Amino acid sequence: MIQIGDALPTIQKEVTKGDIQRYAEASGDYNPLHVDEEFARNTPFGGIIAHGFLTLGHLSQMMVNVFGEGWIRGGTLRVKFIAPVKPGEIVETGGHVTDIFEENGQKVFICEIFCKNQRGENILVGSARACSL
Amino acid sequence: MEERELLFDDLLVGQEFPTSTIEISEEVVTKYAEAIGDTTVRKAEIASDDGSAVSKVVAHPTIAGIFTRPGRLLPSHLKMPPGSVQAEQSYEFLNPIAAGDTMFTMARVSEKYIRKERKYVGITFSTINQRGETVLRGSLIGIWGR
Repeated sequence: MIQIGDALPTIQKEVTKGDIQRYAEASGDYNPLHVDEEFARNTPFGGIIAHGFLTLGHLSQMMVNVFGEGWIRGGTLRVKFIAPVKPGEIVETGGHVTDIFEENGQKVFICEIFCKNQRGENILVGSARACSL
Repeated sequence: MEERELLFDDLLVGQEFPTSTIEISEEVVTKYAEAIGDTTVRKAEIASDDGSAVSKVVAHPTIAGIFTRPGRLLPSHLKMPPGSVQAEQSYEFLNPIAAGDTMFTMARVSEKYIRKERKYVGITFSTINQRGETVLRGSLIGIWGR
């Protein structure tokens, strides 16, 4: 049974240029920051970066692994993007349950969530909510 | 109509964009799953187009990033300036998204401001599917390239 303070099971992924390209193809988002090395080299990022929404997918995987359909139907997500993810970096998702309460006959779980890179720097931070169905 | 960039100065608070429509094809669902590295097949009971409940393969709800990114919300003749990035995002996932569903997203500019010489634009949106069910609501803050 999930309790307040429980850690969410982390997921680690290396983000590759192939992942970024596949996300660009799926989304149609060919912003040169993500796909054009020469353009991206001359920006403050110094090279291409992953789409922020790609990292959200890793968070979603963590949440669905714990809450299943209670995440897919009724979940909420609020995040701030702190730092970019560059190809070759390792993204690790994590978080913990901060509150549990009943609402409309359902158990509701409030979580603090984050993604960090391999240097332990926050990539994004935020909160999420999921229900028990 | 000739394609052009939608600059920060062109945006008006309260401005509404035309409804953005996209079909979430099986190919899009597969590519998204491959990109995030999770190809696990997940099913959920959802209403079919005739109203009966059926079990269908559903995508991660964050696939919404595909049709709620600012560039997709703009009319087709407008594009975001290069160098634009996402600062904040929030979603309320209300109904699952299955392959074959069509998403209709309505969006409006909720705020714009400059901080530390960066141009921030807030956009709120809501999406319904082809059955008229609200799929999600949300908002974002983007940093406009120029």
